[in-house]
Amino acid sequence: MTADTRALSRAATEAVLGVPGVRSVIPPGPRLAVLVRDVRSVLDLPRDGGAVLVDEQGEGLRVRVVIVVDAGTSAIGRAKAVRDVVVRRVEDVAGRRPTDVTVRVVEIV
Amino acid sequence: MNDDDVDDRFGAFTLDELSDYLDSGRDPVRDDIESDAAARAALVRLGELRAASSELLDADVRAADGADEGWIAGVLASIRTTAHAGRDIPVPDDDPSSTLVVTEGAIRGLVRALGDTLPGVLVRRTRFTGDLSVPGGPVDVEVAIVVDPAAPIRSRADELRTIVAAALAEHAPFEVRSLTVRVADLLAPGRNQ
Repeated sequence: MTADTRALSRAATEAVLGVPGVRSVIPPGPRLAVLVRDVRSVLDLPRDGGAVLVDEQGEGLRVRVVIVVDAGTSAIGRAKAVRDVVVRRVEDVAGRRPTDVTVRVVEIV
Repeated sequence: MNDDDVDDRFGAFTLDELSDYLDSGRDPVRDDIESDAAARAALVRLGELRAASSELLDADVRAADGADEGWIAGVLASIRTTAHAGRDIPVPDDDPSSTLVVTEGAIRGLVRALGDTLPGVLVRRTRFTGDLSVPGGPVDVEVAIVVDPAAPIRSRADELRTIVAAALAEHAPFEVRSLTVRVADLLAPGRNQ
């Protein structure tokens, strides 16, 4: 069991990439309004974890996943499959379920 | 200051409005936007973010310690997809601890790619009308295309409508209430897609 969010991030990223139909995982960056005002805000993206963002919030672990999926499989089905696999992997590695999981499909290619 | 504190408005316009205008190729020209200096500056910035080339970050990234190629590629992909994302469309789901979304930009990109598979067809714009924030809610979809006059216009539009309908049924987290393919213009003679 580990509480290291970077290790959790790497484990979750590996799990997401193993979901059939997932082409890639993209690090979740700042909102567009933030980027338009200052693109350098993106440089705060973590450099030593995986592309899945895992952080400790007051209520528990928060996970954010941004994915590109294959057009040959349902984007909706992929989002649900990714959620399920991330919850399982984080629970396996951290010993507790994440309390907040967001999966965004940003490209269907 | 965190993300939630950042105002989405640039001049008199929201980012959604400016993104839509950029998607239209700034055609027809909107004098209200073009005469608004803050909105114009945001349009330029949006265009740069959508291109998300390494030049956008070059100086800053060079200055950042430990920035490897993989990280830079991830950063650029993050910027590019965020700049094209549009609104989040929620996926109907029963789990209260998770949020699943497909972005408007993902669906638009898919429709554009489907248009590219048909000779003589160029998708200019895809518009969603309805409350996209309601999971599984009804949405009207309009796809505006430009067609080569040498191509069979009616059949190309019908073909596109068929494949877009199938793709939306597979990927869109909303109910397609209507799907309209509108031939907005003809490609200039001799102009390739």
